[in-house]
Amino acid sequence: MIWLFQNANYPFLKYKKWGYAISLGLTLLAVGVIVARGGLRYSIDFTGGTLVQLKFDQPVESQQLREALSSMEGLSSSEVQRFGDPTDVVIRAQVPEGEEDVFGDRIESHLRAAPQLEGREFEVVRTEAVGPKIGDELKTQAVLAIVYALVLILIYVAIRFDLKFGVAAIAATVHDVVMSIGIFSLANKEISLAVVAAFLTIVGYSLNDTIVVFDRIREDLRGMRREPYATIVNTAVNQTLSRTFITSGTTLLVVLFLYFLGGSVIHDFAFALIIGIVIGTYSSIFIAAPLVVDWHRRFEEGRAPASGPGKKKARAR
Amino acid sequence: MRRKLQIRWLVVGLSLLAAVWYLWPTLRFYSMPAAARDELRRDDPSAWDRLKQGAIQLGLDLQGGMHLVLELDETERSFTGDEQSDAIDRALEIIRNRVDQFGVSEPLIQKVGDERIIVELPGIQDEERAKNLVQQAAYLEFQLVVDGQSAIDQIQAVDAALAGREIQTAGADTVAASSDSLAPPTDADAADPRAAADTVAPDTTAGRTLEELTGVSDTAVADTTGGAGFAAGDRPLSSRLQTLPRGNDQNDFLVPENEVPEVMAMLADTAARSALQPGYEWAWGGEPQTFTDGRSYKALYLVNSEALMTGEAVATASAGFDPQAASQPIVTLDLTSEGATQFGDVTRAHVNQRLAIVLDQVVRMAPNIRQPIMTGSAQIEGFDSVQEARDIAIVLRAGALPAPLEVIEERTVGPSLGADSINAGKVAGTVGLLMVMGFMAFYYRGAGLIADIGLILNIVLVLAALAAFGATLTLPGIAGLILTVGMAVDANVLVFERVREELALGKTVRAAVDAGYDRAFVTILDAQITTLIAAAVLFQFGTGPIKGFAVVLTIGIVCSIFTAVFVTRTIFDTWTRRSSATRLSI
Repeated sequence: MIWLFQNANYPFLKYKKWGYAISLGLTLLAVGVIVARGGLRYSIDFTGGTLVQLKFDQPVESQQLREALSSMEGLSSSEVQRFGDPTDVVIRAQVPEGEEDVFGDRIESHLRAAPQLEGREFEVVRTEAVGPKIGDELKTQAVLAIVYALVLILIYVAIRFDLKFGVAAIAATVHDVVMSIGIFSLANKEISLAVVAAFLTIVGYSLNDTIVVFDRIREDLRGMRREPYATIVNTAVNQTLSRTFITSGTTLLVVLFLYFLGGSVIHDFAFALIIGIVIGTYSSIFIAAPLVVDWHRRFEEGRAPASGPGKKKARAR
Repeated sequence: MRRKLQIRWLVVGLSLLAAVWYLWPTLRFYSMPAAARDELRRDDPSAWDRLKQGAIQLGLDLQGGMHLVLELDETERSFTGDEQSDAIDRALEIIRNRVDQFGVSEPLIQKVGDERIIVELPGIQDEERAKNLVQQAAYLEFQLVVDGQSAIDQIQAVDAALAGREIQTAGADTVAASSDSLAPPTDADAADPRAAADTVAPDTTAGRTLEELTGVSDTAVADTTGGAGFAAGDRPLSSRLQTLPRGNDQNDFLVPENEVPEVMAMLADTAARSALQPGYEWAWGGEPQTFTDGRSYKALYLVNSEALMTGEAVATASAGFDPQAASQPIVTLDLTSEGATQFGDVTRAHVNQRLAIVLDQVVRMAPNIRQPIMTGSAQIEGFDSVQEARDIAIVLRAGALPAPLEVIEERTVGPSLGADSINAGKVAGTVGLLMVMGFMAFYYRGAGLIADIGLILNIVLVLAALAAFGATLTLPGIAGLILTVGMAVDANVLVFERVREELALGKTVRAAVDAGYDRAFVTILDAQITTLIAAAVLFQFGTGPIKGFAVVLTIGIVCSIFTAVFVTRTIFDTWTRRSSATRLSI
């Protein structure tokens, strides 16, 4: 039998100060990075604009395209990026309001006539045009969606466990999302609709991990009444350690394959998931569990014996 | 106990059967060679429909196509709440009509809220054309052209109102932009064809040159020596106009293409507008035409504001060729009986005047009425191609939109990119699945193999559920499926870790398996429900592709609880009971 962490007994809670410090530091760093870069980089999903993806018959230099585009009228700013294969490029353009949808064609015909690209054949494989109005709406909706998800989960966890677990779980999840956004900003990647969807998935996934740990804490609290609260929590973390690593590992594995093999369109989405899985696993051990202990120490100790997480006993078995 | 186990196997068998039943059309459809598909579609359309409906639908991001979000353009007139909802309903109906006639297979046309329409057109090749067809207001008006001295008087009045003044250029862009949105910049907006055909087309030999024309215009209104600056001269408008005589004291006015924005700004100027006699308005021709001097000109007409007839008089419209000039595509309008009477009256009252046929505020043509037309049909000429004539006929048949529609979001994916995405998804998914299965077998041995069976069954069930619910598989959906593979083993990992602990405590195999499943079950539920909550929010929030992800994730989680808990436990129980095993490979 291969056993990843047999009878593990790492003193995770002893290092909780380190965990808090690292997380606080990284979160501040993330916020700092975002501020230093002048805010987040949003995709045209949120800013409005035009995107054109081209596939050339042979590898193409972005520089050539930039030169070709520089002479185009009405294009207030544009950005050329290689996209996956060396033959593929994506052009993102800010265009006059109300003309988002006609600009894709204009860019295409301009490039077909551009002397810099003479003799090059290309095909337009994707265009996107989003009006600024839709972009603003989507931004609001994206923020609301994440907030709703957090609130609903807080309620669920507070009912199934108790408030302290709910608050700890949400704190860890907010930490995960902020950190993921920070890393996205650090990698200079754009926040698109798909990336927001990935963040929402992270919210669900990171909680999944946290709740497995909480569940074990709840169970151990019943079985180990005499032990100090912190010891019980630490034991629970250790008992679930194998599972945490294996599940995170298999999920990370498939998402890595998605990242490397899944094609360029899904790239950023997969990247967000990778970050989320790693951070989510870390936070359930080093943030969520210690927060439960601290909350207990601060608000509950001395008031009542450590009789388990509140009134709601698990009704199974 | 034995009996209970039999029932469990029955449930597993039935669900497997159901899965195969629902997946069968998908397997058949996507394994069919293209030729066989075409044959079936031709020979047995109803069987084809059944098969296609039963198969898993691919989203636009996978099969290629166009996604549009449209909103009423209220720059011309604004709607109250009720009016707006009514206008959207009418627009929806009209677009549906147009798209049906255009011949797109399985379009999706849907109202969102009270103000938007989503149009999804799978497999569209010519996006620009499709967009025009959907978006075009198709508001047809017949307006009298003001000619002769009256027109010249008006131009001089505008000249006088603007003379020596600075013109607000700020307005130029908005005027140009709004005229763009009224008449989408389609190549359908060809200029008056007769101008091109009869007189000044670049290749014509019979035509008069522009020099000759300007000779004529010297005495009238045109002054080609007008200043270059925007605010220049005593005659800011007329100095920018060329005249093109059409006989009968009728003139087309031509504006050099590069000066069109300036002239638009002038005509939009408040002083210029109030100088114009009430009841008159300016109307532009379509795309500029190149004349013999090598320059392009756009036509400008002065017309009576009041429309003598509108598109409501049109019963039906059809595209064809001009019987006189066989290569000329035309659209024939058959008028309603009321319309025919109306048209007869109009043409009788205005013989030897010009009647401008104005589609979406662009003058398509302005023929001279030679005699009353009592036949109840009219013709529009001047199309670049038959296809264009056909599209115009479709929009005129389907009727005018209550207001122009603005495209506020557009996403198109070419079929090749979609196919690439599917292939990449397949590769990533297969490799990921094999790695996870390999790991489970390596780490948990025999139990891992049982988990692997559950995993494969899970994927089969998810796909079957997609087919059964008629859900759409999108690229993020494929990602969701791959993610499900990673997460589905979680339930088994939780159980197996638990069983190992119980075994370590010295329990028998059977007791350990029972305890492991029982204890892990609550954890599995609790943990998966949070992901379900996130997926539900995602479904509410997302647009097409992301909704697809939420759906797959949800189905994946539900199925994984069934396969990883119910199915694998059934296998375990059968095994531990039959062989009175004392050792467990886990």
